[in-house]
Amino acid sequence: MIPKFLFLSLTLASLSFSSCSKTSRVAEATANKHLLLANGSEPKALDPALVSAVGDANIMRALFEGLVANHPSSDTIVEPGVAESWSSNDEFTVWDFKLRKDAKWSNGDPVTAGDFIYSYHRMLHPELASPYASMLWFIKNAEEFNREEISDFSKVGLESSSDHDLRITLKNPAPFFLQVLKHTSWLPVHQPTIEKFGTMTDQFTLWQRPGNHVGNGPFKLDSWKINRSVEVTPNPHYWDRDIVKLKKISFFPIPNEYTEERAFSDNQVHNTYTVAPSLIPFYQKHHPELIKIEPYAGSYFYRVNVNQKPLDDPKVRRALALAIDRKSIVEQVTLGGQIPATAFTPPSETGYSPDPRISHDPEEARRLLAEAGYPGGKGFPEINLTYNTQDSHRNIAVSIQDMWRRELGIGTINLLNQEWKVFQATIIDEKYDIARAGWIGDYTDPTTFLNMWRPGETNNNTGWANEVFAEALESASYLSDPNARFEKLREAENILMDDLPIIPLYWYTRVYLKHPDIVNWDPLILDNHPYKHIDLVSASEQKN
Amino acid sequence: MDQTRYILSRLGQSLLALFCIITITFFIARLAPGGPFNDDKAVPAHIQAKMEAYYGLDKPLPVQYIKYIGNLLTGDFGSSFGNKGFTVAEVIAQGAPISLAIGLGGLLFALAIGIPLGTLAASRKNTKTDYFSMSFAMLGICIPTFVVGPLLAIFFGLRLGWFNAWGWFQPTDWILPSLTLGIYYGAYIARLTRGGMLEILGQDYIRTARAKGVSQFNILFGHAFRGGIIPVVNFLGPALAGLISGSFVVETIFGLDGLGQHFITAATNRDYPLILGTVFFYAVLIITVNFLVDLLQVWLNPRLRAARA
Repeated sequence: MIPKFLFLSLTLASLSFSSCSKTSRVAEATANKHLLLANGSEPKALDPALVSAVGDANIMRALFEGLVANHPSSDTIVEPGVAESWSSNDEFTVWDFKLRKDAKWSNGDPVTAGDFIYSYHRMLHPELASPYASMLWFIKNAEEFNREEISDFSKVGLESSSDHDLRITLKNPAPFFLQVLKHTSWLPVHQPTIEKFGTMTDQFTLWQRPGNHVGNGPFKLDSWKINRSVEVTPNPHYWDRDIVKLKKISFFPIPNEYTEERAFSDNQVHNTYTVAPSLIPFYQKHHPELIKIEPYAGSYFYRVNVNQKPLDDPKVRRALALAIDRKSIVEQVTLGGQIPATAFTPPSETGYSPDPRISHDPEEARRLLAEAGYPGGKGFPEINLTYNTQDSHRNIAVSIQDMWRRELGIGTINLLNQEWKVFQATIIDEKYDIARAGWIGDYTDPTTFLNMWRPGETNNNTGWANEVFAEALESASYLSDPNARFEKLREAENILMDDLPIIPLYWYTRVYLKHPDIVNWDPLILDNHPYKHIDLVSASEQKN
Repeated sequence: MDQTRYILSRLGQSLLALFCIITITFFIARLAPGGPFNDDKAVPAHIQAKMEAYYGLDKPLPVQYIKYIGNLLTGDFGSSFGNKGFTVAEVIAQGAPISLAIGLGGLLFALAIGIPLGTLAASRKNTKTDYFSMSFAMLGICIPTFVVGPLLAIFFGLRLGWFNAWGWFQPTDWILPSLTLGIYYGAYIARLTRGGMLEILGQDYIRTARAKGVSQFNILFGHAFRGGIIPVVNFLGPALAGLISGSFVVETIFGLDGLGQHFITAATNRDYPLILGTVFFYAVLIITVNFLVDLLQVWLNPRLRAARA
């Protein structure tokens, strides 16, 4: 405890007397249009079919371009990518993409419809074992192919009538399909390059090395040094190369939030990936122009094991949920402007907002607990609240433990912390009572939050299997009218919120430090910034 | 002849130790719950199974072990699970030079701080200078590197602007990390030097030298020094090993891509091949350093040679 406190006060002290006596690396980089980004942790791979972390996806967006692309300042607007135009049938089940003729790989080869079909074939191939293959299950027969239920790939809903015409046939109507297409799992790979260094289904061959790597994004791979940096430079063959302003981007893996703050204070990087909660008030007070707090498509919650007594009783689960004062958690513990959750799916620009079903109501919580047979918490058995080892999770767990004791008289909650991988195994094996969880949306549609709670889903892990909920989602998936669809999804979410196999706590924000030189970097709910629009202009020039 | 036999037997012991270390590490790493392919978002069971099969993790543990040892004998350390597409040998080759650089730099700082401080303290025994030097040494031992590191980064990096507070870009970037490592070992060496020097300074031949009117400087460095720093020489082996393998914290603080980071993250990622590779590397390093120190001692000290023969 004491060293941690020291550590913190030293970091804080650093800010108050930082000096600018030496030539700053950032100033030099800005002049050279060289963006220095702190990017969390080291990328696991540079192959869009094999990455899953958010930081990895950030690099993928520089190196590859999908059919459609992200807009620099809007979550809903879809920018053309390799496809210059598209259309769908009225049911949103058949999508036709017209590919631009000037789209090129970084080695000069043209990007064709065949490249996309090859890439999706590879992504879905059971032998490649892509962790994100399920993102492509929207396509007709894709799940069956991925699960080896069919082996004929021509049955999967992908076809091209020419090099520049791609038709994707979906399993169900998906009016939001273009949003899904922005995800990294839909990025194409270059067949000759993949097969120069291995077969279609070989994982992690030498093709992802500098010199070998071929992409079709606005940037191409320049260097990759483990735990130091990934550097990209403009792709001279990129169709929209004239719009690309940056001359280089360096992605630095800096997993420690205090280290990256020092690097930022020392003008070594243009941003930080995150900010330690304890530093947030300092920056808000002294450098409000540097700290950014923006809504983020993520939900922080607790999983409840519904097969475990006394948590198998929905009344107990509701009592626990209503006894939590979420406002005080976000204002006094997390400090990053997070939003107290009133349901599971965070609100967004999509037009979907869940009905508020969860509030702070200790009175009702006590009544429900008494009804469940534990008046004033009497006789409530001992249960564990498990979280992965991290200060912020512990602090939240401690306050919730205290709220349950104060409001409900439950003094039998044990806090249990586990190392990350151990914790993962605990969740998958459902060997917990209540466990900390977080979920970041993959695309801007409520299904990215709701589908996971269907019976038997890989990430459900609560033992909750509600057929009514599953049916509501199923019937929503056949609706092509967006409003009717949202209405049905809201109905499903209400079932989830009435039964509460999870206790929602708050909706995430992105908290980071950003150098004022970065231009065209606007708040985005998924934080997927398209690098081709980003520029570096020194703050003094911006004023002129 | 005796010398050769001694060296050969030490070599045999070292190989046996190495084999035991690898075997124990192999099985202990597998005892930890969770696997390399568990991630933020769980993947469907059929994909998990395919990934495990691809890396041979579906085979019985003894089969995997025999295969691993077989590969090891041909010099193949396998591929990293965490840094995908990189072999363990590549990961180590990229990180080791940096860890070695700051480790050796740390040793230089440790000697440069520790020996003068300890000698000074010994020559002014039980004076304010002695107490001050030894308090300083105690402080250096007590304050952990994760406090010293940020402190140095903030003072010399952010405040004075002499060095970068983060990164590995310029030749001077090894100074702060090495200093952070060096302070702890320097403090330790100061105490060892003081003890060693005091023992020698109390001996008859020193009193004789004093009686003959030899200057304090000559007594310290001409007569006492060689004997006084023997404990320091003995400590160099473990210190060097500790400096090179103990750099995780320092690498994290200064954002260096050394081997120390891999040593820790391999374990948290359940990156079995990299766990084994880094353990193997450090084991070889520590065994070699200890072996060399032993040889050095035997060479320096005829009595030891006689005892072992």
